Parts: sequence; C-alpha cells; structure tokens
Amino acid sequence: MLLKRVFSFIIIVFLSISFASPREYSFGVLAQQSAVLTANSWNPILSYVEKKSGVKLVLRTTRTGDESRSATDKGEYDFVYSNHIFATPQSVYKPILRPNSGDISGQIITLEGSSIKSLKELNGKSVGFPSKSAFIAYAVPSDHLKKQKIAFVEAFGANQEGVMAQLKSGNIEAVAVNSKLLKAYAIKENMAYRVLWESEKFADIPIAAHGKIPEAVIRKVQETIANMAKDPEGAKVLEEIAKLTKQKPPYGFSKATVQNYQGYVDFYKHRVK
Amino acid sequence: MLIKRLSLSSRALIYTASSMAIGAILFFIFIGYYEAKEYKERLNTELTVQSSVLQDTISEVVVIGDYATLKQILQKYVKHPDTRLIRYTNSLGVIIESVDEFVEPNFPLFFREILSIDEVISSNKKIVIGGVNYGSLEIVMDSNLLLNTVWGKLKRMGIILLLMLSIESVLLFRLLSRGLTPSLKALEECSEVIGKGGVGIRIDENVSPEIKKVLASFNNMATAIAAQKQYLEDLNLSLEKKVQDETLRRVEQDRLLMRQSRMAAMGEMIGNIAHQWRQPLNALAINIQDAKMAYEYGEVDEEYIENLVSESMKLIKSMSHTIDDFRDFFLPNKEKELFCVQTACYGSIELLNAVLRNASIEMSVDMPIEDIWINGFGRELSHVLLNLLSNAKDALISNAVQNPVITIKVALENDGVLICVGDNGGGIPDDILEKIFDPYFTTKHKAQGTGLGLYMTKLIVEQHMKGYIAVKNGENGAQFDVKVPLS
Repeated sequence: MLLKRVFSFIIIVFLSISFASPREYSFGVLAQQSAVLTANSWNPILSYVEKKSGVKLVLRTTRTGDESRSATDKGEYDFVYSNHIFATPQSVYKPILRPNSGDISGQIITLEGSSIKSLKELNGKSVGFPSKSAFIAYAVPSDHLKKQKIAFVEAFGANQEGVMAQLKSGNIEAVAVNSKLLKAYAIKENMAYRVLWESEKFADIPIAAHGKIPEAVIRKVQETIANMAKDPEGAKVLEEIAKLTKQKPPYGFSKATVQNYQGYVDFYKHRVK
Repeated sequence: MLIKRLSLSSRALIYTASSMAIGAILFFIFIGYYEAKEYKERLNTELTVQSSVLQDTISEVVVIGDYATLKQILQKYVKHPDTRLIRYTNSLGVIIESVDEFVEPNFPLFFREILSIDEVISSNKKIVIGGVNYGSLEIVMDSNLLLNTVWGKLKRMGIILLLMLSIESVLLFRLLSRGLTPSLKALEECSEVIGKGGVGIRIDENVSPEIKKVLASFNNMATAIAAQKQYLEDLNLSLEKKVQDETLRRVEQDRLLMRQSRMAAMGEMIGNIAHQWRQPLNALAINIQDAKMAYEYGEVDEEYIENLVSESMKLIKSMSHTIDDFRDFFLPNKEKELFCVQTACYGSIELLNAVLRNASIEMSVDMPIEDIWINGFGRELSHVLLNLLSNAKDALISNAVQNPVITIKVALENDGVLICVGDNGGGIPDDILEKIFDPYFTTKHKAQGTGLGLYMTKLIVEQHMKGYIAVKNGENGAQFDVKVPLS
C-alpha cells in the first residue's frame, strides 16, 4: 500500500514537471518610440533568444517614459532595456549587455530653418523633452540648461519619437533628444535639424537583469544576445531591425558590467536638483 | 377575350400601363440589384478599411497591454453604423469585445434572398507584430441597415415612378380618346360606307398633323377607289357588249356553218340517191323500151303487162324506199333513244354501198356478234360514221389506191364503245394532222369539200354524244377512233 502511494507521488511529480509551462521572463523596454515600433524592434530579438537559448522572454513596454521608469523602479520586469536603473542607487537591476553602436549623447536641437541659433535664445521659451524620466534626453540636457541659467519652460512629448514629431510639426521650437534616435528619426522622416548643444558621451542604454533572476538564465540570455551579431541567423534579424529603425552598424550587443556605466552614476551624483 | 371587347383607347391604356409596370418592375430589380451591389461592395470596403485601421489603432495598446484603453477604442469603433461586433481575443484566449445592437430589417426578407446578400459579413485578422502573435481582431457588420436604405430608396422611387406612370397613362388615354379614337371611328364608318359602294364619302381632315396624313391618305385612297370603280364599270359595260357581239357573231357563224353543212350533206345525199337510183332507173328504162318492142312485135298480153307493172312497181318502191332511208337518216334525234351500234354502222355502210361498189372499194367489217346497245343519239352516230366513210372513200378515189379497202372495227371498251374507221389511202400528212378538225380546213378540191365535215363530226361526238374523236396514221392510211359512252 505504501509502495503504491510512493509510486503515485513520483508519477504526479514527474507529470507536473513534464507538463508545466516553461517559465516566461518579462523583458521591459524603455518607451522611446511607439509601442508598435518597439515591438517590431524587440520581438524578433526576443524570439531569437527563445529559439537559441530556450529562455522565453515576453516584451513589456509602456506608453510613456515615465511609466517605464515607474515600472523599472518597482522592479516589475525580469529583464529591462533602460537607463533608468542608474537613477536609483538601490536599483535591483544590473547591466549585462550594452549596444555595439557606441556611446550616445543628449542634444538640444531646432529645425534647420529655425531663427534660434544658440541656447541663450531659448531663454523664456519652451523646450520639449520625452519625459521627466528620460536620462539622455531630459536629465542631461535640462541639467545643462539650468547650469547655464537659461530659464526655459519644460514641455513633454511622452517619448523620444513623440517629442521629435512635435518639433517637426512646429508645435515646439527646440527639443532635447537622444542623438542616436534623432539620427534615425531624421533619416526616416527626412527632417533637417540644427544642433544647439550636445552633451558628453554616455554608454548607450543597457540591457539589465533583475537580481532575482537565476544566474544561469542571465548567462544564457547574455551569451545568446552577445553572440547574436556573430551568428548569421542573428545578424540577419539585427539587420532587418536596423532597416526598420534606420540604425547604422555595428549592430547587436556586447557583454557589459556596471563599470561600463560609471558615467551615469557620476552624473546623478553631480546633477543640479 | 374580355380585352378584345374594349375600345382601342382602353386597350391602349391597359397595354401601356402593363408594359410600363413591367418596365418599372424590371427597372426596380435592375436598380435594386446595382444599388445593393454597390452598397455591398461599400460594406466590404468599409469592413476591410475598418479592420485595417482598427488593427493599427489597437496594436499600440495591445503591445502595451492596456486593455482598458482597448475597450474604449472598441466601443468607439462599434458605433460605426454598419458595425455590430468587435471582438479582440489575445494570445491567451482572453476576449475583449464590444457589441452594438443589430438593426431590425424594415424590408421583406425575400429582398435579401433576391439580392443574395448575407445578413452579416465579418473579418477575422491575426495581430502579429515583430513576428509575435498578439491575438486576433474580429469585426462583424450586418447588412440590415444597408438593405433598409436600399429598400427605402426603392420605395420612394417606386412611388414617384407610379405617379409618373399614372399621369402618363391618363395623358395617353386622353390623347387616344380625344385625338385618335374619333378619327379611327370616322375611318371605320367611311370604310363601311366605301365597302358598301359609297365611294363618294370623305373624312374631315381637321385633326392633328399625324392623323391628318393618315386621313388624307385614306381620302386619296377613296378617290382612287372611286376612279377605279368607274373605270371597272365602264370596262364591264364595254366587255359585256363585246361578249354579246362575239356571242351573236359565233351564233351566226354556227348557224352559217350548220347551213353550209346541211347543204353539203344535202348535196351528198342527192349524190348518193342518184347512185342508188341509177340501177333501178336503168331497169325501168329497159322495161319501158322492152314494152315498146313487145308492142311492136305483138307480144303484149295481159301476163306481160302484169309482169311489167309488177317489176316496174318493185323498182319504183325500191327507189321510194331509198328516199325514205336517206330522209330518216338525216333527221336529227331530239331525244335519246336505245339503239344498236352494229345496226347504226350497217345503216351508214348501206347508204354508201352503191358508191363504194361503184368505186370498187372493199368494206372490211369487224364487229362483235352480240349487239351493243347505247342510250343516245343513234342517227347522229350514223351521220358521224357516214362522214368518216365518205372521207375515206374520197381519199381512196383521190389517191387512186390499188385494192382500196375501208375497215370498220367496233369494240366494247370499259364504259363505252370504240369505233375505228380506217383506210389504206396512204394517210394524212403529219403537218396537217392537228388541223384536220378545224372548220373550213379541207384537203379536197373546192368542188368536193366544204371543210366542215370533220368539224361538225367533232362537234357531234364531243358536244352531243359526250365522247371523243381522234385521228392517227396507221400502217397504210388514216384511222379515226370514235369513242362514245354507253349511256
């Protein structure tokens, strides 16, 4: 009788393991563009990771950068593509990958035909930002404007793409944006612009992993994404995404640590409150 | 049947109204079909466009997972007039949908069947972004609003068309009853009058130009008929006179022919009598001379006188009998009588016997032993045979034929008797064979023939006896075939 019970328990455990759904890991992406463009840009990568590593990553994004930051601050995502993680010293996220496309900078720009030719001329005028939570497109440029004693009025466009669309349509005269996204957007939308100011270089937005995620899973994800550009199949996926987002090579990601993002840490220490 | 009793204008009204109604129905079907087809295509286009636009619209919130906003969007889109249901089903099977009330149909249900439009049309599209399935979007539209619109439109058009048709029918009826019918009635009356011969009647042409043309044409026709009638009457009178004149002329000619024929027959009869009398006259002359010589020689006694008188009286009786025979022969029959064909044939031969013997012409007779009886005109048949025998005799004498022979063959044939009279006189030349029965045609010397014998013979055979006569050339001479009916 006892033997029968033990045997049944073993079978139940075996079946539970066999038929249990594999665990999904949420992958949050900072809202810089429209959700659809974000999905088109990231879903192929996440599918590739699942196919190669067996780790299923499910895309999560928000409408605005503020919402993204809020979710990141709360540690809602298992993995995240965001630089908000550096805004909080006690962040649960650790960077594991950084883009190969090089560093980024924040830029304050106007349309090429604008009468505004210098930052000083922005005094008393509205300057557009994606959201208050943006690092390279808000924290860095607004800090610089404040240090320059330029009295500007903040205006927000929800995300990078939104604020650039505001500039293009003439609703706002100057905006602060991510230099890399600006370049891609200008090509895509055929927009000519004038750079009034450009910040120092910062490492591009990292992919970070939540501290609760098993190390083995993190390693699998890190290895797969880091090797993606070297794998013909992965490279093809990256090229397709680059065509869509108008990015220029090199594509893909490299392994990263928090040391690669020391600039962010330093910035938050010295920014004007 | 009933419609045939109606007046022309009423019939025209019914026909016009019927044809217009049929036309209107066809028009409705045609318009309805194309309207519905157009609406159907529009509905399909709307479905495609809405599906595409809505998919783009909800993609953003679907990716974000903002189902509250998604619900609001679906509720907004379902307010589209034709849209009844929008249902989003995510990849896990969670359904978010928005439903609007279906429109009640305000049209007969067969209308949908005729136009073959489904009650609902729908689309179901998967939402795939970046290769990942975000669920599906189903949109259902119903066609009731569309068909309500088309039906309402057709009803309005129908009322307008019906009104127009009614006005048109009334106008047509008015036009026909006031414009055409009186003219047609006048035409009918005039036609009746003209049909009864009153060609002088004319119609008043004070009507519409089109009808005026018809009436003028009718009047012209009436005038032409009148002229034609007058011409025909004149022609008739003229023809009547011509016919009368011709009839008189023909009667006169026939009378003349008959007289000539009778005179010829009489001459012939006298000749024949002369031939018959020649021998008894000679015998009488011998008796008289013998009486004179007997007296001179004293041989006259009572016995001699008795013998002389007896013999002379016998001769005189014979001569008198000859006259009776000829007289009876030429007396025409007035009524049919039963006579024997063989007797009639022998009678004719007997009359010519003396002449034939004198000319050394042999008679060959081939007749049935049993008598053949005919109910007809016996003397006229004898007269015909006498003519034919006489002509044969003349031909044989004229051609100086060696061993002249005349043959008579009588045979019973079907319902008549065939009598063939032939000779061995060499026949009749082919070029005149067809003219032989023409009046005044003769091959004889003028002193001998009148050219009326065979003409009269043909008249007697064909008109009096209802038979026929034909001529042909046999091996040695001509042959006349006479066929007469038994009754």
